[in-house]
Amino acid sequence: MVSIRARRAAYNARMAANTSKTDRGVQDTPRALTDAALVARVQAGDQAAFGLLVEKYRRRVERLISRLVHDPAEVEDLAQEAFIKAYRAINAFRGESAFYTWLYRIALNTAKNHLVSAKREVTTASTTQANDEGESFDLLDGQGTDETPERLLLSQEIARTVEAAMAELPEELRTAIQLRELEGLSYEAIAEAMGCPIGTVRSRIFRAREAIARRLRPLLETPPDRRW
Amino acid sequence: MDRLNGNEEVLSAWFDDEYAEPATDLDLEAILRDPNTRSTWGTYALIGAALRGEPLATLSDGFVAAVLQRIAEPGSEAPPQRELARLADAAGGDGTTPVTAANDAWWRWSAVAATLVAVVVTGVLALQSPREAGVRVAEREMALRAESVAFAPAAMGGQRRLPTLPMGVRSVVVAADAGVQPVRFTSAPFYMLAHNPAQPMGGVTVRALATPPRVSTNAR
Repeated sequence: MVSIRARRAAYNARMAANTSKTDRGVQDTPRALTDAALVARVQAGDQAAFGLLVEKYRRRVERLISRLVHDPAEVEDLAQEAFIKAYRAINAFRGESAFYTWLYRIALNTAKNHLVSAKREVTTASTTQANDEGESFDLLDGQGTDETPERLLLSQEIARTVEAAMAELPEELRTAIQLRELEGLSYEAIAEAMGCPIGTVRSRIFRAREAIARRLRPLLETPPDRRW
Repeated sequence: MDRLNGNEEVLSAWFDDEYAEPATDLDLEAILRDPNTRSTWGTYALIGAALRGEPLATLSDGFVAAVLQRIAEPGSEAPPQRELARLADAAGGDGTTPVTAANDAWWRWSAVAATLVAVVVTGVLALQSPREAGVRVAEREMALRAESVAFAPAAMGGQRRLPTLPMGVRSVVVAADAGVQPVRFTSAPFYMLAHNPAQPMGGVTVRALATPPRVSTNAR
């Protein structure tokens, strides 16, 4: 059995390679039916539908940005900015690629633009500082973050819980969700790999998610009034 | 009745964009109006992120709320598509602005209309040509001597104004390479031909005369 860590390492390597290739960074999902339906609603003025897209892709966007920008606080700000840009340009999205492919480009450009302006600020500040004090410094180092110990603890707890839940899953459920989430395979490809009907794949992935979610829910309890 | 109706296996497949049929408006309404369903959607996203080792530090439920709050602010509305196209032309694409290419629908239809106008004008003038034969013979000679101006093709990306003759140009002479008698046009629509070098109308070349030709009676 291939461990989650090994699969994750392979996934990370693929993603890192893709980031360096910039615009070729993501594969188009051949069918993006739900996303397309959500985008259509957003284009019709439904902001809540955009919330589902944000919820679905925020961490992928943050992960992408974090490859270029290392301060978590900035990563979150830039991720928000990328989503705002995407929303404002949503009418320009014509569905010729998957929504995430389009979002990916926006997020990547947002991060790159930030780096360019940060570098300009560093140059200016360094010059000023050097003039004032005879030495320079790097603004990109030592930036503070807004990570609280509680949040860090919670994220570690979640990672551990998911891993433990995965270890307890029956083999076929674990394989199905790994192929989906880590390998990014379509249900059809998973069905072919596992030698079962697509409906079975759908059921296995759902059961795997539910089993993991049951373990996670106590950690994630959020009062309804604090949910978006 | 919506298809979701407590069936979260459907929600899971929708989340993956893998359900056999796309989610309808009714389905999406069901997801959007039910906090528990939205929460499940978020949990599915979190599980995937945790498996992929994506950042979990930003677990605050404030992220989505903050984005929604910012897009709800006045001035943050998604602008109309035409407005976006204008912004894209002005600012250049950065991934958020659409690219208005020469194959934009407006330009495609403009090209079709221009071609039709040119064909009609050419046909009408061809029918009138016997009455102007003497003038055309003289003009053929003059055209050879006249200073010719080569028209640069119009940039496809910018102009929407009606075609006009360039400043200082009083007429346009069309001369066939094969020695057919040239015809002079002073009407603006024909000027469009000069802007369409990709469709030279059967080998016809277009020249503009900077000065009106003198009619020579003894032209041979």
